Amino acid sequence: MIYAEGLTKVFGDFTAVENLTFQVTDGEIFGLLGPNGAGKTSTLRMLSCLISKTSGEARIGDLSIGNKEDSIKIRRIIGLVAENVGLYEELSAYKNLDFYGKLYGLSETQRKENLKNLLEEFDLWEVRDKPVATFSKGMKQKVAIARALSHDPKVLFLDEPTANLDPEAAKMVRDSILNLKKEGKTIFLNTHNLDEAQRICDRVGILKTKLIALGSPEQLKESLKGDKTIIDLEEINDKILGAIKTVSSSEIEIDGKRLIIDVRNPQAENPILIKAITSAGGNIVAVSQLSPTMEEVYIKAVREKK
Amino acid sequence: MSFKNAWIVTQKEFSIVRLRKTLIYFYVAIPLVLSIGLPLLVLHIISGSSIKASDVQYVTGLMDAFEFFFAIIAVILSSYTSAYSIVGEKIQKSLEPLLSTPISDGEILLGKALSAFIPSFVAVLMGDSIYMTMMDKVTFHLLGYSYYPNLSVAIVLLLLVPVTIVFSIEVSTVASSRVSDPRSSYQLSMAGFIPFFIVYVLTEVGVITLTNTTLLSISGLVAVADVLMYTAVIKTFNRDKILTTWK
Repeated sequence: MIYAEGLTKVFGDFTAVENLTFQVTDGEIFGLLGPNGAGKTSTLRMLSCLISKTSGEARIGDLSIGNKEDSIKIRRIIGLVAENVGLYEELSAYKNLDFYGKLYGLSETQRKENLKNLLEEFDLWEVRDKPVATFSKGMKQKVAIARALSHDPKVLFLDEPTANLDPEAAKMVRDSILNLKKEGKTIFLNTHNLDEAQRICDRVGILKTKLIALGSPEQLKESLKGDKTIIDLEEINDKILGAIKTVSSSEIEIDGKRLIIDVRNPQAENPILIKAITSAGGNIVAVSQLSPTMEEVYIKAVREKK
Repeated sequence: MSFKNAWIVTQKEFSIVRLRKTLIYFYVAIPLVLSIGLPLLVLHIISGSSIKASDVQYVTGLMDAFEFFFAIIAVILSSYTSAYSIVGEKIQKSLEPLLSTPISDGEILLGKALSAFIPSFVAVLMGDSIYMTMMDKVTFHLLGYSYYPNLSVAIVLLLLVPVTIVFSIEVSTVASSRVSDPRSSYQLSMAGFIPFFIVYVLTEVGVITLTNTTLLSISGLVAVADVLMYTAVIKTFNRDKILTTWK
């Protein structure tokens, strides 16, 4: 559904996005992670035809980004939830949505039906006539998502949709995103929230001007899997440490009676380590593998880029 | 360019204006003060004096100059609405989602321009109508005939005021791209007021006489300025610039 090849955005002498290549398939939730200034918003804005690309190719379905005629067509099939909700605070939730429904060319009957369904789905029907200014942040975010869905778009772009929301509101928004996936929408999500990316994204890309990692959260974690083996012992002494050093040149961290050893291939290296420890008279209480988190994947990717 | 899309934006702006009572008072109060105040001023000048030929000339000259006030308030009203309209979108950060819809930059601009043009024009039209009615009542015994309506008023209302409103909306749009506060935008937009004020002062000191030819010439000059400013507006109100370089 979304294709980008060599997508680049340059502002003056500053390159915001460089040579970005990826695909998002129909019905997928794709998350773009990256530090501040990594180019996430510029990427989202290029893909949603808000700003022009400097070079490269990008498409939404068969429609080409950068082609003036296609840009209007693209904007008809996408919905955008920007980083800031951007609602008309004086107007009611219904009027906000109705305005957008009109811009998308929906008939009055369609608008009435769509808006009622959306406002009910997002639990906003009872407050539909109240000014948005009186809403909580979470409610505003829900209105913004409902607004982006008013014309039943195929693709939804979300820029930091849970930023600044309390945990309950953030969960509400995440649940809404997962429901949209069930409805078959393709979702492009910019987020800082690694836990969120892990929970809801089918695949994630880590961006730091360039795309530095790409895959499912599991694939990315898999790339770090086995990095640390944890061995709990009854006692740690120099003989045990010496035995480990004869079979492994990895860094060993000692935490009380716990050894944390960097390993590249746990399946091959762990038995050797265990044998060396037991041969040196060590009594092993437990052996476990430290599963890497998305945070570690992210930090590793971003640091390696530096 | 779809007028329908532009009109959707205009209707949304009207919905917001309806909720901003101060803006409505502003639209009512300024033309009303002029339309009632100016005839009362003339009434004060002519009351009690014996009628002389020079009085008639003085009063009709004054009335012609007063007509120019309505072009000036057209600038004040339209700048105010236009500044609030665009900077309001900036403050609420609503331009990004708006630009993501299938509406062109030109349609947004036209919609916003209409939302400033229509109420300003209607307010000036109504204010001038009250002014003319009252002024005719006040001056009838001096002049012996109804001075209004006349060709000068037609030129002011149907030519000068519309081109002036367009000019002030254009100045306001450019100004709005550079600030993020409606008051600052309005103050900057009032730069569009300066040429009209100068013309008024030159009229009062007798350098310019506001004949029909002068009014037509001023309208023509403002129309040329409108065309020149349009290029700057199109360059400013461009989605790439709005999202990346606007303050």
